[in-house]
Amino acid sequence: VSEYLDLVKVLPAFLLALLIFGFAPGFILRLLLLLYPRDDARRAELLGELYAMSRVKRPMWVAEQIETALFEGPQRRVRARRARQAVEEAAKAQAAKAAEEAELAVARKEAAFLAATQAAKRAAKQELTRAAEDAKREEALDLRTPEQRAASELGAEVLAIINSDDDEGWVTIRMRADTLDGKPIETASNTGSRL
Amino acid sequence: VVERRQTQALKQVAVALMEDPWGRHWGYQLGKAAGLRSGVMYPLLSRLLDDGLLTDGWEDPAEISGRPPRRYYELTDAGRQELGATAHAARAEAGAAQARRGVGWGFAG
Repeated sequence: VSEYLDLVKVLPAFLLALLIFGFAPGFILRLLLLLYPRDDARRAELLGELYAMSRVKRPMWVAEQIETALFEGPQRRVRARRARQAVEEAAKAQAAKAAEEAELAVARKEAAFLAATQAAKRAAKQELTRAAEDAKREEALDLRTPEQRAASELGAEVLAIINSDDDEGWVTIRMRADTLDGKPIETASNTGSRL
Repeated sequence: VVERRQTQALKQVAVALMEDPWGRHWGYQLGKAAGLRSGVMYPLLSRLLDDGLLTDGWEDPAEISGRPPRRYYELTDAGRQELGATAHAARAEAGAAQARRGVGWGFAG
């Protein structure tokens, strides 16, 4: 019984020793390391150092780290935050520049498209003008008779002029044309060719 | 070239590092050898790392068991050159101070 009583008497001292040399150093050091940024190498470094030294030295060493952590931790946090902000700002600036360049590229494409459309319109207009001029020139140079021209416009060949001198100014011609199925027909007509 | 203030702490760390210029140095062991508090020594080691006088690395986890790996520091060529000069000057300074106090080796004549 007395042995048990002695044991009870030393129990608080044992628990205290367990706390000071066993549990507390690691726990307190981990709390202190929270002052450092999450990815800081010092966190792992100080933990590695703690468990490499003898248990007797640990409490004093951890107490010493309060100074280290208070001095270094917040400073490194601020530095890490600034670095992160700088990276974010650089990324934002880069994104803005990329967006601006993309906008510029779209504007350039639109301008190029507009210019191409206008050039095409101009070319088409010029072509039409040229075609009209060519037609006029051809007409001026056309040596065919009015009857031949009228037959040509109808897609037919003049065979004979039946009457080119009626009272109303119509010309009656005999011509040959192809039907839709390709068979030639011969007919006389006075339509579509007023002199 | 970085203009470095020759503080007492730097001299002590330089002397401790130059005890084994080619070896690996651990933070706790270095602090003990230099006689410096952690609050002074670790920020100093960080500065020396940033300036390229030291490199660092981690113990191989395969070689240890039951504890996390420790970080080690090694001198670079530039570090050996600059901190070697600092350690040399610090030793010479200490020798002269001892001689003035009349203790230690001293010089006759």
